[in-house]
Amino acid sequence: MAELPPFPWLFAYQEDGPRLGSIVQRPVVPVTLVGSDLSSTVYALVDSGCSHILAAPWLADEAGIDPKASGRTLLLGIGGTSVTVEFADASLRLMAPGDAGDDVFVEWQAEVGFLKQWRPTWPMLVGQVGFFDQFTVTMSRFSLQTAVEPVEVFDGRFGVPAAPTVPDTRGSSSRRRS
Amino acid sequence: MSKLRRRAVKQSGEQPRSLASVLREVPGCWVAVDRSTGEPVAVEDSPYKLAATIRSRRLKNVAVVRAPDPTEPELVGLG
Repeated sequence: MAELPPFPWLFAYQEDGPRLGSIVQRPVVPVTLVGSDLSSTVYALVDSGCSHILAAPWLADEAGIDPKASGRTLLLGIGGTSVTVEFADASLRLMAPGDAGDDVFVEWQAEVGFLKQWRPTWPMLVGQVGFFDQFTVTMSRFSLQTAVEPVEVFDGRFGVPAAPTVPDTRGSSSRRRS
Repeated sequence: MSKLRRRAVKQSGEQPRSLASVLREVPGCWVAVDRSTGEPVAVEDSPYKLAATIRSRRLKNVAVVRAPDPTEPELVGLG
């Protein structure tokens, strides 16, 4: 694999729309799903308010992932309704910004939830467990940029005392704080 | 665009094509855009067809998105 460009990696917000005459700016990052095969790279919405990584069903098919195999399902409230989401373990690649190409990325493992239907512009949504516990993520609506850095950068910047890493029940590497 | 934002654009040099200008042209379709230039490189009416096109044409450095229909409401609370 080619050498990684230095962090922070900056990703420009992208326009979503027009919908009903409105265009909104969204924080997105390019992500590839890895199973027995590689999916196409998609723009994934960075959603700090979501606890999961969620993806469109066709991404599972393309990556050769069977969401039913794990038997792990959750009923999630999405967009004012309830949907059953099937979870599977997968690898994900955050592609380096700019014109670095498809061979420059950071790869990690996470649980991904697949919905049966998908309508958003962005085929994937990366949330707290699986993305925010892997990187230090800063979103600036002022600069219209998302900065992604190694996860330990947060403590160095803000002086958070070191604490032991304790996996939670969903496999997140976040810390347990008393 | 605010004065401050315009200044940021000038400082960062040439800007890629705005995604909305691409999505506006192909409502309801799935689009592969070049991640550097923002230009569309493939458009299909289903994500499966688009994935097949990306593979057959060996397209690199693209990202896939879905172009919303302009009559769709703005989405909030996705997950």
